[in-house]
Amino acid sequence: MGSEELRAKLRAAAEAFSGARARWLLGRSRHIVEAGGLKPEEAREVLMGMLKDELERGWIMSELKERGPLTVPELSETTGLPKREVLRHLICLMGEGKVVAKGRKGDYHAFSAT
Amino acid sequence: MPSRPREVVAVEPAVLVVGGGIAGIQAALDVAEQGVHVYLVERYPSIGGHMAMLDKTFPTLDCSICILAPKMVDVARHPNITLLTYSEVTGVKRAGKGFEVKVLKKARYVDPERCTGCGICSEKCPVEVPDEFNQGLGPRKAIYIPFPQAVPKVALIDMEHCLRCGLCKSICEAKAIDFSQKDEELTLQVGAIIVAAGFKLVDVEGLREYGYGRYANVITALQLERLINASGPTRGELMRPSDGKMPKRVAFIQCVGSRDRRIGNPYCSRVCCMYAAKNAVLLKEHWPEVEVVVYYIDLRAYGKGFEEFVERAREEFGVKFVRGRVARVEEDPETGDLRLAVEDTETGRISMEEHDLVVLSVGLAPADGSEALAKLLGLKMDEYGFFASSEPKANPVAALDGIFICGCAAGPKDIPDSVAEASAAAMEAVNYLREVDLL
Repeated sequence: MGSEELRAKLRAAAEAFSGARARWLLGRSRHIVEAGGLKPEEAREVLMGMLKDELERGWIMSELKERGPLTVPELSETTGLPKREVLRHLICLMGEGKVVAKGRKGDYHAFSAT
Repeated sequence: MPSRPREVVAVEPAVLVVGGGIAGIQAALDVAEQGVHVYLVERYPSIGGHMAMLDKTFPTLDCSICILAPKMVDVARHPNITLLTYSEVTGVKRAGKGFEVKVLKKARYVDPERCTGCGICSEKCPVEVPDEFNQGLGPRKAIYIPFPQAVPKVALIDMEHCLRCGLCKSICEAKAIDFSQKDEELTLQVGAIIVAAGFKLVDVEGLREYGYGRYANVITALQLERLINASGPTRGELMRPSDGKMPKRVAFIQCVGSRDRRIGNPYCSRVCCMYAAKNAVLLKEHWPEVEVVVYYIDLRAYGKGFEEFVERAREEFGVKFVRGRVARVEEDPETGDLRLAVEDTETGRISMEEHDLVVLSVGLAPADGSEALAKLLGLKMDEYGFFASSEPKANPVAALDGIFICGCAAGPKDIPDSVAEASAAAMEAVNYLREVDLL
């Protein structure tokens, strides 16, 4: 892993864990597995999926803060995530009020951190 | 079955309304205004139905929720209406002069008396689920309020997805979260029943030629409504699902799932031509640079002001209407753009047309559960599964002694027709109570 990529990932992790969601999930993971709403392996899978989302969103947020406004294809190229996934994350982040779609670059909507 | 003597059964002079979309809401309000008690049963967590999801209405381009929300609030506040949301009718039997009705009221796991609708629980809930109200285009949480204008504005927990992490319970200042809540079965005594169970969209994943579900940039008209709505998932910014591009060339394909004998739906859904013309105008109004093409079999603009609206769409807004049947849709996997094989039904020529967003004008089908409800009520259905009238000409809202039908439950129709039928059904139901001396 190149040092630039490592730095980007660390920034993403820092961003993700500055939010309450990732910290709460990790803190409650044992309780969630034991609560029995899901089978233990299912609960672990769901938790891993959520933490993955948080890390990916952290990466997107750190990119937007450093280099925004950015488009879906630009974010997809930097993070290596599929464009559809990037848009899914952006829509979630818009819902949380962390991101806005403002203006365009060429044919693409440009997203900024608020 | 030995029946009890009629006089002994204490049937209330009340009316049950099944379904809380615009038809059920109108029927409930009209009955209640006559001084008669109404039980309004809605299976979803909020009333509002499909109309709450629409951006604008045709042909007047009024904001849909702005017309609907005050009526929803009136329902909640009316002293003669008992609102039972997240509830389903599970049993009906004739009793005395009326009916005994069993209703299953599902647990919300949130105390409606305590919940203030502040929404902090859903803001903090870590679990994301595709949002049904936004047609899967955005997320909702496992604890959620279905939409901002929901009635009742009370959260509920989707136990299928809840992790039982307890975050909502720990932060709810009103102490409204109650994981021990159980489903309840209620028994209601009513003198008449109005069925306003609504519709669903035809399942388009079965129609493979249009690529819905396979190609990201093929969406339904209801998804477009949410996409261009200012309180929708993209805050009203038109962006296509594959890559957030602002589409430049949008196609509307008409009669998807309607007038289609292959799937047993030869009927016209009556609203698609006009909602497509309306959506086309909305796109051109917001983004005049976007090219909009409507591929249709016939344009059926039969209502008051409809033909004029379509003309305005064509002349004033530059929407292109092409009489042509779309045989198939193909995707360029690199760009996400779509190629449509269109047969011009006037010339017979087949051409390939490029678009970057395709909107399917999906037809209307009977709501899920209609057949089961018809069985419970002893009602007949028409050949397509909509509730059948017993007197289609003289009294279209009559179905059976004491039971009335209205809105899209009785067949596809637009909002004004649904409202008019609902008012008629309300009047008939109250008249019926008088005829059987319950009033």
